[in-house]
Amino acid sequence: MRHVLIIVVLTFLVFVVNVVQTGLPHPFGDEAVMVLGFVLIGAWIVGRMTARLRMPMITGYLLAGLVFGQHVIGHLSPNLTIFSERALDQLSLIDGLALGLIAFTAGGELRVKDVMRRIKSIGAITVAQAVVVLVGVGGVIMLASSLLPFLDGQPHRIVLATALLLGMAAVAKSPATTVAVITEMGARGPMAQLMLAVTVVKDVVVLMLFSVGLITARILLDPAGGADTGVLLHVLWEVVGSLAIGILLGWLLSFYIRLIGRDLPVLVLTLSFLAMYLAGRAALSGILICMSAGFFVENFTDYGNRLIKAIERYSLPVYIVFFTVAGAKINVPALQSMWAIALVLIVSRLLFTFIGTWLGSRLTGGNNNERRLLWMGFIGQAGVTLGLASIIARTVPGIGGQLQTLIIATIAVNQIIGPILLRLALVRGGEARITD
Amino acid sequence: MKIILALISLLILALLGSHSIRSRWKLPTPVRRLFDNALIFIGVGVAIGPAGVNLIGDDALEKLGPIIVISLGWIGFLFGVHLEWRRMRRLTSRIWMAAMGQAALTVGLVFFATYWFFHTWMPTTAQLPAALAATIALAACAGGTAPNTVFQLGGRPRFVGEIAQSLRIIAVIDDLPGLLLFGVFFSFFPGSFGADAAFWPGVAWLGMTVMLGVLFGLLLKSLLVLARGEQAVWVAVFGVISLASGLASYLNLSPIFVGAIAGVTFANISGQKETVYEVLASSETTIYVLFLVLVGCLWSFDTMYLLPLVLLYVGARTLGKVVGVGVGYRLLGAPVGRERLGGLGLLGQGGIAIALAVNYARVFTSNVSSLVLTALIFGVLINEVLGPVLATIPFGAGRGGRR
Repeated sequence: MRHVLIIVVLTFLVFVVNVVQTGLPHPFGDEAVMVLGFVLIGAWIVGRMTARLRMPMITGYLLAGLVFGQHVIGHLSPNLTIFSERALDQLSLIDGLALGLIAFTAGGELRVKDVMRRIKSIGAITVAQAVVVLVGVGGVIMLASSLLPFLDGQPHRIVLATALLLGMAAVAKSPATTVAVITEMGARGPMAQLMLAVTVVKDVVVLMLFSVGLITARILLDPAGGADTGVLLHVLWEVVGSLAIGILLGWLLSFYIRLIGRDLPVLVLTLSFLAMYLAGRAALSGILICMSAGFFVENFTDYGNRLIKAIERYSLPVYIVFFTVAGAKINVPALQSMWAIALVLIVSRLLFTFIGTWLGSRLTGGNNNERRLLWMGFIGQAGVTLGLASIIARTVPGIGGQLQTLIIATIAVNQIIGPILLRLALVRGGEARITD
Repeated sequence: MKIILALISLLILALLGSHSIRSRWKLPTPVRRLFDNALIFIGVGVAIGPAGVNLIGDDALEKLGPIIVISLGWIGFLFGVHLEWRRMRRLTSRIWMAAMGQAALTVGLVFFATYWFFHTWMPTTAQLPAALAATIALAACAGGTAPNTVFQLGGRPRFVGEIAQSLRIIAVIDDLPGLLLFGVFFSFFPGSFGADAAFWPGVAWLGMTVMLGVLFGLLLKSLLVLARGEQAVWVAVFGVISLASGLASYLNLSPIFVGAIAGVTFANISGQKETVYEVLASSETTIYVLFLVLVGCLWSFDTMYLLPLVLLYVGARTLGKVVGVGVGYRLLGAPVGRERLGGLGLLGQGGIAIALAVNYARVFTSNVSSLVLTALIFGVLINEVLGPVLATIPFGAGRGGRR
């Protein structure tokens, strides 16, 4: 009852603010601060409510963003939504920062000795998943191409390029979701560790695969244009440069901890911003930089535990903001406009992720739990996939825009079901501290 | 990209600041005090802001507005949460009268002095409404005392007994008249100070300000019932402060005033004051340093009127404090020797005064607002350096004790 009352009060406040305007100009940031406060309180309350329904809290944050966003409550009355385009834009800085902190956690949770012990499983599952999902989803798209109006009457090579691009997008997943749910559930165990390791490795594999796939797709779409191998070099720089910068930041972090050791969360914030800055300046990946920094501190210094504790101290507000903003950005109109083919894409992705994971696990002698449950940890999609979709829109002539809309539509669903499935896997696998 | 670079610089400064405040470097007492009170970071802000090397330029400064807005609400809330009626009611009516009287006298003196200044010295540049807004802001800032500066008088030979106790109490509550004046001022003139101001809308906005503050206090109490663990408490406290300050600022009300009312409400209805206070204290240094660096960036030393205004402000405020405390001592029947000049121990100013000035300058952008803000910052620094020296007159020389 208290939860509902708080939500009602917050909604009423939003309504009052939207109706009672002074008509005077606002200095920059007033709206962002107000929305930040609303997000922290409102989404946290909704997260608690979903936890009672045995769903992850981050599903609650996503739902809070979706429900209080422009497409649900804002559709009823524009005065009821707090997430204006301007506010979301102003919060993008915090959004990027949160992703950096999540990536620090992902890297910091990976231990070399654990990874090396299971290197075969990690490699086999990553490769099997990538190949099976790419080929499987691509094949389904080719068979179901009649559901895509923009492929009507197009030559076979264009259908093939579309299948390739959608297949690649299906391989990508959200590292943030994996880290957030594992942290929230306090999951410790071989399966959680394997999920995290595969997620991190896959992030690099997706970048490589995507660059090769993009070149191939562009050749298929425009055979006269030839191959632009510059993309490959660019990706190589992105991966190697990010890892190197990440190691440097990790070293700086450990140096600071040894020398001063206080206010660690502030330093991690600083380094996350620095990673964002360098990523923007030198065309690197902010996520990879932060992941490798966390990985370095955890595995090559004695301060890994302190780093993780310092980040986890603020993980709740970070996850709340990140996932609520992600929820507010879920593109409902895109889902409405392409629901049929999106459904095909979502179901086939689920199926082939299961098959790929099962196969990888089977090849390396994984236990029953792994074979049955591990795939559920690779369904969530968010920022990385959105990034790929926007690259497709920018670089693929002709059909890029429509493909982006379709990918965004599938992300909307995968974003919601991903955390729920991941939680289920951790609970059923007996690795969650919080169980049903 | 520039904004991210600015944020990186700010965070590094906050780290260094936090380290230097806790360090045991041997420094002359006035400089040490600037470190202890973190006011040195205003200087750092001046150095890296538009008036200095422009590492944080006007554009980045505008985009860093959210940090300022949150800090204003934070400072207001922190002030309010100290005003617990259970403790306040133990104070005698005489000490209330002494505290409020000296603050009101100081506010009044600064108001008339600065009003005279704007009309005599700047009759053409400062139109009547803008000058009036500026004088109200300066007067509101002048009333209070930073409690820390009074606590630092401990150890001085004549700072003992009833005299010391009464000054400590006065320093905790004498921000109230200025803050009230400021809250009323923002309600009656939300974002403009001209002919469009009217009585009944002003009353309505004031009612809304109070209602919002009370609502946020109740909301925090309600959230804390649900919050388990440090992280959840942090989310609740920080969420309420952000929402309160953002919403107030969005409606052109004062985030400090709304935050203070929320703090007072919460302190008086919840038994979890200490839990919240711990959360506030854990982030206090970082937020305060960030805020002060940004305040320093707002510094604008480009007018010939600055120095006379600063001198007038400091002079009128000192006079108000000295006379006010002298009268207050008589009211309290305290022994009067050199201690009657005890007002010289109340010269230190801190967070609330600076926050009020920043709040004014953010909303009432006029040709005099940057002058007022800079004058106030200058005044605070002068008071901080001269305060301990002048306090030797009533209380004797101290050992330069630290917090």
